[in-house]
Amino acid sequence: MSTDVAYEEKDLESFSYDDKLTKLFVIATVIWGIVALSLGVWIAFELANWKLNLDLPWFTFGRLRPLHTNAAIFAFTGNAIFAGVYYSTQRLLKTRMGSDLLGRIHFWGWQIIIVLAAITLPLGISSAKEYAELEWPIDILVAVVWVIFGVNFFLTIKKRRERHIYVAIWFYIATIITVAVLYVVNNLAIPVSLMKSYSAFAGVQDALVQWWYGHNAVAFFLTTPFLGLMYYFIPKAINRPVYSYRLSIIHFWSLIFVYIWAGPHHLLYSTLPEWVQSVGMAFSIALWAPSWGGMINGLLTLRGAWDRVRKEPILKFLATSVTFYGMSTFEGPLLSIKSVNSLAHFTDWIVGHVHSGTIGWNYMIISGMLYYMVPKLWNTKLYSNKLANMQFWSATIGLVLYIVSMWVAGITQGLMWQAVDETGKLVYPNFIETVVKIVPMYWVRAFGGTLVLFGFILLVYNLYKTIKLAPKQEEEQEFKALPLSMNPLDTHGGKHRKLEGIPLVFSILAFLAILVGTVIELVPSLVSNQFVVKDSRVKPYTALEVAGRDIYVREGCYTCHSQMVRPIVSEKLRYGRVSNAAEYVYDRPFQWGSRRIGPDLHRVGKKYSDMWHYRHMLDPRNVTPGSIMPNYPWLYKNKVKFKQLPKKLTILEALGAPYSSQEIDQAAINAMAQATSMMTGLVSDGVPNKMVDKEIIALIAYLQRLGVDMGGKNEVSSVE
Amino acid sequence: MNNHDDNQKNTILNDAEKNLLMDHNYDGIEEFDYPLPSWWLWTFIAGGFFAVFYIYLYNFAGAPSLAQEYQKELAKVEAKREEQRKLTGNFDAAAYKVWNERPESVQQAALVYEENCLSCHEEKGKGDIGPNLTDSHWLNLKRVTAGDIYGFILVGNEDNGMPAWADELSKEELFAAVKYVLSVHNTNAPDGKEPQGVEIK
Repeated sequence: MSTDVAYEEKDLESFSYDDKLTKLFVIATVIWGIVALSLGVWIAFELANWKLNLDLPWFTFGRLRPLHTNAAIFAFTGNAIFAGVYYSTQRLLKTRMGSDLLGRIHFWGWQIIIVLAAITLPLGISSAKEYAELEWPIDILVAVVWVIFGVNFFLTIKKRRERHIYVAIWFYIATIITVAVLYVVNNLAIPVSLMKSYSAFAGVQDALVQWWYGHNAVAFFLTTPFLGLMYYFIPKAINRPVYSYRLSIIHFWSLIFVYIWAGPHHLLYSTLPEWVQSVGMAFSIALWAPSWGGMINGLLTLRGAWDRVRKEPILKFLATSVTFYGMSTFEGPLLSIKSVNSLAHFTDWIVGHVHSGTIGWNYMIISGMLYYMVPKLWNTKLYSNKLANMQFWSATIGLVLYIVSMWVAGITQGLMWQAVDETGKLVYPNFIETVVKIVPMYWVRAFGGTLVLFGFILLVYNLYKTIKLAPKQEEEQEFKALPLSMNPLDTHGGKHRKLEGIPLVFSILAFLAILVGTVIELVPSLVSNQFVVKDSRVKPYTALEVAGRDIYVREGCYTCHSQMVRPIVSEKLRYGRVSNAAEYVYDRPFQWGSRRIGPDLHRVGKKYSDMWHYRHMLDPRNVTPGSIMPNYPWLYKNKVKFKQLPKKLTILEALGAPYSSQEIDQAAINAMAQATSMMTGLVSDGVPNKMVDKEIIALIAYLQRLGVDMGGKNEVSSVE
Repeated sequence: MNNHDDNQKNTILNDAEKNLLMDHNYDGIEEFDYPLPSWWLWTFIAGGFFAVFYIYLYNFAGAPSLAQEYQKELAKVEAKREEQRKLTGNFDAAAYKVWNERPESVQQAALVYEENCLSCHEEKGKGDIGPNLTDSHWLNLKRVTAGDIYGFILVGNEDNGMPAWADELSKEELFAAVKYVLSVHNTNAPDGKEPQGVEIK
């Protein structure tokens, strides 16, 4: 288009790209990729064989699963996003990044965050909200570094030489704005100490905010930035024009507008008000076409050169990634349908669905991107196409094994949970039967995951050799382009075309698009006292129970256990009375969970004796033969930190739990008294008296309190 | 205008395609402006209509709420269970006698015990979390008869950790549990838990 403008050679400005920064992010991507995938494989084997938890706190599934998800999302895909964004943005805007220094701060800041996550999560320092487990000091660091990235990005837009911004940039803008909003709101918390905080929201409200965040972490961290990258790397790699500009426009705006509403589909059949649930489901269905708009634009761009897709590894990875994107964005709306959700929720089907997105879409597109970028960045050719093809097949076969095994496991277990015979009894009343049945599928999944990891190791080796054999770097290449001032706004291309020339207005509109759903879904719940009908029978946790709950949070029990008995008959038969929103008003954070690898725990209070729990946590197989739960021997050695309790109760009181000043001041003494009274029963069963101040007693106190305030497990509540 | 030579290798476009090409170019990337595929457009519109319709149906037009649907389902299952309770609720001594004489009842007793009772009462009823069943002391019984044991297993005792089994076990399974308890009674396991409750001779 600038060819229309008459110019002279002297008008051209010279510039170069900060590709050193891109290279740093590329290297970080492959290193953290290995870490994140290895963690995934390790915990997959832990589920297949519980002994791999090694009886060590920092090796248990409950602590490593958050590390795997955070590493996969923020370390692996995060660094890949930054590599791709820095590479493509400079080229699409014909300028160097806004600031080399901000870029370095961004890079090193992000790596420090990852290292801190890798240290704190295995130590059990966790706020126990999925994909947002990092504690408050690290959260602040994440927010600061993200803002630095944003500032650098918008500075780049400001100094661009291309008047209009390309569709990839639209997606980057939406990503940067939305992730900042999501991350800050969901992590609002009041610190107790440097490494412990209580969520600013409780129970239902906390759940709503968390899944607004959780779903949109998928949307705006794993999807929109990669759609942007797709719009750069697919046409570059295939050398064909993008299929449809108008499709880009309509699917971009509809996608970001609709996506933000869909979070409540993670909370169907929960105690979330039903209007929010039905809005969440409706928008999830409406999300199908906007998602497929991206897939179509990707796949139809590849059309006309399918012969090359068959031969060239880069194109193979890109085409496969877009195909899996299409598959998982079809499966997502399907799983959001209430009746499908009632079967699939809490099962491995969801786990399979997530991985068809993260491996099928993210891993594949990242691989394609890396194979494209590395030879260009290091000014050489890829070391081996054969190895790249091997990776492709290894990863694809591994992924198919993963998805299929999780379908089988999820549907099998879901049907077993719900099976009721003609006498009105559960066909499989013992939860463990439904676990033992799917363990073979855990082996298949772990094997599939291993193939995916193996493929990535091939990629790393291939890229290492490529870089090693590359010629010594010359100077940064010089490019020339006209300044922005000689690049007039296109006023004939329609309104949207004009908008693309005014990125500030574009960004404000994108922000408004994501704000609508956010405000309508979240604000009523956060400002209204009526949102959850209080029940005077529900009392705050005692000091000892607070200590126990914090242990539950630390050990990541929510990664395998839910606390939500849904209004489904088989759940009432299995667990007892259906859960009620009023029961969670003191839960900071909420612990509803998303997967039942073990049974629901909301009605576990008073179901078993203290001694049962004492035995169970020491070796679950002692009371439940066939259990795949880890042993927790350290709970029998660690002492409860009684001294911290007054501080904890003070914070909880400030957040709304009605503790008296006596309860707060005497918290440590009261906790000890409760533990002592629990010991009478346990001692008669042979537990030594010295266990009184150990963590196990606090944990049992918490478990025995779960779900009992509104009456026994079979008492009728207002919901029924 | 751009310094990349990638563009020159661009796959050759036919005339129709050239007409659809937009006049902009970013780092060598060009864009067509193909019309929206009609099936996609219809899916898009249908999705929007579905959302509006669904929200209206469930929030304004009185479609049943989750709680209502649950109540309906629960009533059906409760009816079945009520039937069943009539069958299991009272100890049918005659039926127990007939069942007890069947040869497979021994095996069935062991199986039901293993699946439901073993985790608390341990092997052969020697007691662990739950009391020893092999001695002559009892926490919850007044008389040691099949009928009394049956009646207690049905309702349990929440205070000392014994669950109610009325809704978990079928009539025959309850018989099996009773038979097992009677079979280990007074065997006085040498490594059994110390006696609890009142001695009943």
